[in-house]
Amino acid sequence: MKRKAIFYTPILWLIFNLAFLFATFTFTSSYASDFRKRISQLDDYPYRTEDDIKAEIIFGRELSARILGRYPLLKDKTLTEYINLVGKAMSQHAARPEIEFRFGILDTDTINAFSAPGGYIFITKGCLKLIEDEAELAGILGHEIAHITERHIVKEINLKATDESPISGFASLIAGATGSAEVVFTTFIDKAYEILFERGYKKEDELSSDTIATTLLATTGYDSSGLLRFLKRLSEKGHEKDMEGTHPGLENRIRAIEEYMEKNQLTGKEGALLKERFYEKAKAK
Amino acid sequence: MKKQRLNNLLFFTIISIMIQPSVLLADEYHYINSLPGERAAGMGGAYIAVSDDPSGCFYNPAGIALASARRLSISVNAYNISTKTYKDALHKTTGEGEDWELRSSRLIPNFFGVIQRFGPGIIGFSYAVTDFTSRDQEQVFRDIRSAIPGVNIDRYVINIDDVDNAYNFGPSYAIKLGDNLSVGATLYFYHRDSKIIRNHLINLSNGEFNWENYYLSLKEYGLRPIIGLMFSPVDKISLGFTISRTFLFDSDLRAQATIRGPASFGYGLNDVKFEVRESSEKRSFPLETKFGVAYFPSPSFLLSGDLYYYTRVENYEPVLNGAIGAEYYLSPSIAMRFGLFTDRANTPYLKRDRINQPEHVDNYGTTLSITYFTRNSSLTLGAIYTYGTGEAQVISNSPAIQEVRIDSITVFVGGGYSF
Amino acid sequence: MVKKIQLIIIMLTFLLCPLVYAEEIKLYVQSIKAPILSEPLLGAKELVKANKGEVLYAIEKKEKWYKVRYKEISGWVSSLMVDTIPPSKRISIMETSQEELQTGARKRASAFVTAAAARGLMEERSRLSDRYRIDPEGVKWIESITVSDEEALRFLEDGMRR
Repeated sequence: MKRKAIFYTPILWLIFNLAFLFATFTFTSSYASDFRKRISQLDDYPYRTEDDIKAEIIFGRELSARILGRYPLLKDKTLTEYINLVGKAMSQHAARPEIEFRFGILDTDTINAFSAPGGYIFITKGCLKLIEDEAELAGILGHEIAHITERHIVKEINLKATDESPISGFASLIAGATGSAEVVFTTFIDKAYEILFERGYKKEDELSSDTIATTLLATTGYDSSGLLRFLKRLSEKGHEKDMEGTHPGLENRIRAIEEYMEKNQLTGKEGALLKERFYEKAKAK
Repeated sequence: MKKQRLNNLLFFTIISIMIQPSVLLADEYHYINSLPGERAAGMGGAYIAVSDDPSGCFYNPAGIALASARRLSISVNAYNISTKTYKDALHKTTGEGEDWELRSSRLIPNFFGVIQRFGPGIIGFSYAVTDFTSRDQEQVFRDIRSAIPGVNIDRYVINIDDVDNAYNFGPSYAIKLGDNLSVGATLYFYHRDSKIIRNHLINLSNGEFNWENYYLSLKEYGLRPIIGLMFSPVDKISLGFTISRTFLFDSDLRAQATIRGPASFGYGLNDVKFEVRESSEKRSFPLETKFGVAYFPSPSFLLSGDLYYYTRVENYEPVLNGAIGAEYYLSPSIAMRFGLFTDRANTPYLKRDRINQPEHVDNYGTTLSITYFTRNSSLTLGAIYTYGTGEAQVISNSPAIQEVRIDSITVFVGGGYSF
Repeated sequence: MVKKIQLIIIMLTFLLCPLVYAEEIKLYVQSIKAPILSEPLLGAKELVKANKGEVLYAIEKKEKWYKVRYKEISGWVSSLMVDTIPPSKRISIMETSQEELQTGARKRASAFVTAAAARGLMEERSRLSDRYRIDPEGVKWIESITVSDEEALRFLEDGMRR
């Protein structure tokens, strides 16, 4: 029959398709397939309405109370003010202007720093002892700021305000949803507590916080190797075991920051250390 | 084969708008009788390379591996009204033509799907209605010409009660094999339940009458595996490929005809012909090969295009169909979608001087929808309009060919919910 | 036959037309200042600084960088400092809590109600085990430390001048 045009022979059609797929395969390069995300489902969108942010702050406050239940707060006003001055200058260079960042010191010799969603950041006395200059302090605070700006905990436990709009109610009715995304508060706090003190963040979250901290150091004018130098000292002095194992291997982190700095042509680039100011404000204590 | 056997049921005809007796299904001459899905329906079904939500289970199971939420469910309710008009199917005694019309209207939940992360991939379950027709008509024609010389039809009463549903439901699983490649499969359980009841009463001008009653029913059970592949050769471009076929494992066809012809055709006073036929012969379905390209230039705009190829099967010709779709976000909470698609007939063009040929109508459709998003839900309102023209031989055993026109409007409301 | 070839050509045209389409995305600076650099590298030359709230037009995206147009200048900005929505005002839960007290139960206060209920539960648990100990007073003490944004920026500038 005349009907047998080329595309009408199924085998040829199949070959045509496979050949096309194959041809395109050869040009394949690796990249994240995030282009699929629509504006309505952009990663942060579900977490960034005013109600979400309020829920996040309320949550962060409660989690902070738990952190302070584990380690006592060091109520040194001038030292806390200094940490806040450094931290708030850093946080304003990051991308969450809606969050009021607050910084506190934990009265323990453990070397660590923590952050709770909603802007609450803590650094231990032990950590301050090991720090040598303000760039290092800024780097550590920058790392914690990044956990908050990137919403690492918020995303991992999927913390959102409850959705009570009528549209959503209607949609959930049609879609046959069985429950709302209600914040089951206490369990969520427990989950976040586990992330901070037991499980640790996901490895990629830690590494991304390191690069963001390094980026913030470079944009504020601090020595961009601030965090790197601190981590190296921690590693050399064998302090890793004092960190309660909540961070991925220091070696990995150090290597990743070095690579990031190399790639961004930051290696060897000068920045402010502010060693004297740090000694004057923090080491005098 | 089946067609011939059923044709035997028609012992003769004076002038029956019967209804090709092989037409057991409301629309077995087209492969795209419904566009399941919330987003897909708005985009003309051009979804093979998008498919990243529960409707991907139906269009391309590989796509669900790329869904953004941990858990998503969508469901769609559709209301369809369609009319098929056979132009000048009958002729008045005065000579002017009279159209015959088949109407269907139906409200049905035509898609439900849910997907969720499970193990290294995504698991899904979905339910899609690929055909839904419901006709309930009573028609009366007066003063019509008949095939018997010198005798007219005073009154011709046709009662129609047809229902045809095709359901697909089953699980899907998809997994990412890399940053830009995913594979997936769906195994649908296929069930079709179709029934045609027609009652014809013809009163002739010579005082005689002809009465015909037909009851045809078909129940089919089968499996429909769909295997899909999705990958991105370059940034912003996605390609999708699927292959599927329906295999029946059980088919139950029953046909019953009760006829009382006019005395001048040899019928006695108490003479009623009654015949029952049954068959468990299974239909064959075409192999469906589908290919799609989607382009995502920005988070608020996407375009996609699909090509579908259905192989030749039994008496049916191979078919090539296509669809294109676009999606545009007016704001992060409002999206508009638009699509065009073809739904061409799997029958040959009609030839002159033959009888009882299957109709050939090529359909073309356009779709439009608007979606409103809240934080974790979406609500969609949309419409699908299909228009088709072609030819048919609607009068049994007559070489007359009628023009056919199909108009179909589907309005759908869909809801999506993510967790 | 001819009809079929026509159809194929039409479909291919539709498939290819998206390739020529491109769209500009508006980005808003979220950080207090966002340096626009000559290359997508932190160590690259700084061309200009955009201020918080200003609009940049994205031309291209490369990993964590956007190529943008800003005041006739085109350069690279880190995606960490921009977003597709304008920067939000600071959000505080303090004033809302006040409002809560004054207006009584509002419908949308579910998060607050949950928090209050959770607080009771947490206090109870904190008496049972050290693991669940809480110190809400400590949180209040930290919140009482008032360092304004401007003070912090001045302090930073001060340091950089040294």
